[in-house]
Amino acid sequence: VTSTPVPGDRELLDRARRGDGDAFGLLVVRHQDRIYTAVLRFCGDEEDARDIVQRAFLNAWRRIDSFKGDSAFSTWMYRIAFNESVSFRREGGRKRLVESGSEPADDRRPGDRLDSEENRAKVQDALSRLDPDDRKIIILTEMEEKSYDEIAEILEIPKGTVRSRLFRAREALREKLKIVLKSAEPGSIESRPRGGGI
Amino acid sequence: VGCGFDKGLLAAHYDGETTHGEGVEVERHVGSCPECARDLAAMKDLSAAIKPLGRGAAPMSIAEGVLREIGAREPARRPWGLSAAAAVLICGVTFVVMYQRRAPERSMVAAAEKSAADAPKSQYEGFGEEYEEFAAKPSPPPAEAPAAPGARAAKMEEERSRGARQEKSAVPVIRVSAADVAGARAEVEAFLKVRALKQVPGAPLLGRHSSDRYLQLDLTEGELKDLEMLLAARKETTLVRGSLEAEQKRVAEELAKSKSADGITLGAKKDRADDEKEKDAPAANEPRDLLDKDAEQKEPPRRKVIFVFEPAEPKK
Repeated sequence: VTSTPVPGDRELLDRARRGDGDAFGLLVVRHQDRIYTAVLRFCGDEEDARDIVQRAFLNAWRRIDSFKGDSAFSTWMYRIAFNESVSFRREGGRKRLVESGSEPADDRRPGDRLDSEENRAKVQDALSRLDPDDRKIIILTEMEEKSYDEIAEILEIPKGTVRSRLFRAREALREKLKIVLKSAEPGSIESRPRGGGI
Repeated sequence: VGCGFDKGLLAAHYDGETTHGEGVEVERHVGSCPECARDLAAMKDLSAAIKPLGRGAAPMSIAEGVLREIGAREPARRPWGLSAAAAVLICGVTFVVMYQRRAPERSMVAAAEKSAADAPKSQYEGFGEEYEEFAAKPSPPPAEAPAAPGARAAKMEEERSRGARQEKSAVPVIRVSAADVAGARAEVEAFLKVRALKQVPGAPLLGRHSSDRYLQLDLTEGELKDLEMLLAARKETTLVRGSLEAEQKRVAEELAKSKSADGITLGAKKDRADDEKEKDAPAANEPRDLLDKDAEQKEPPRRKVIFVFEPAEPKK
């Protein structure tokens, strides 16, 4: 029994560079879910996310020759997609993007906890009101479960910056969510469960 | 005024990004610092609060739009092939997404588990004998397929006229191990609809109790490659291509072990209604219409391929 010769990203990229649209189409199909999720969390709107991701892939297709393959295709795509998200917003988008920093009316008392699915919208809203750089790093860490090395590559910042920025980003988000901390239990540090990378 | 500890290091430890030495340092500090212990608990709370946002499936219109744009802008590179293939891929994406979203409703896994008790001890029982019978028969053309153009018919006939022994050795067996077997199966069905293909009827390998487990198709090399790529792109899905002989050997080994073990959990009968639906389902006409006639006439030869679906081994 031999392993199936399923083309990897690199082979598909090589074919795409030679103008093979089918190969690029397979790359789109392969990566669109995770890119879409990241963009959706970044912009908070499904229609915007759809437009942004589509633009990002088309942008990638047009610039396929400039991709040298030093990093993974997904790394490159995250970068393009985030840049596209920022451009989309700068251009006005669909005018539905939430202004970062603007606080929505919230009658939640500081002692209340977010404890059910009904608050998913509030979590997304809080995320959307974060500074864009903080938002990206939260999405990549908490949702995409990327390593610091991968995040540094995607955001093109030093790994040390990832580390310091991440703590501040979490603090900012926590503030917006107004989550009350559980009573700490010193001595039992539980690391965040992390799934496999891509 | 904080405790002065490096909060970045604290976050890195929470994210599993510290070295052993750094980890020890953090643990030691947190044991005596209520502030940092609270910060760690807060990070955990935050992760829990964000988790319900979950992951989403990209709308099918993304891939459709991209492929349409590519097809429209690159006609010079591939005068006819790209547009035809892109159209098929677009439809493929559409059906795949539709099927994936309907997968929970179909609940094939539940049905399979429910009737697992009725399944034979090994899904591979009768594998060898049935195959001999099967291999001697030519593969019938799809019932609802349009009249094959002369060139294609000749090629197909040429394929069929190969001796049973030769055919037997040429039949690839693709083992699909997936965490979501029903989803993988649905993906194949979607692909078949898109390409207006059908299962090869009366496949002896499918047996009476294993229609969910085996799938026998007549595919071109290109179709097989595309299908493999779609399946391989699924989460927690691995494909292994082997020969029929290798599969038989594997089956024989499994049979030897199956006396005491429960063996494979999937492989139960599909709902009768599902089978009927499958039989009655019309071939997807639209994708065919999108294909270039030229491309259709140049269609390469087909050959039998057997897909074997099995639940992925649980990760330890």
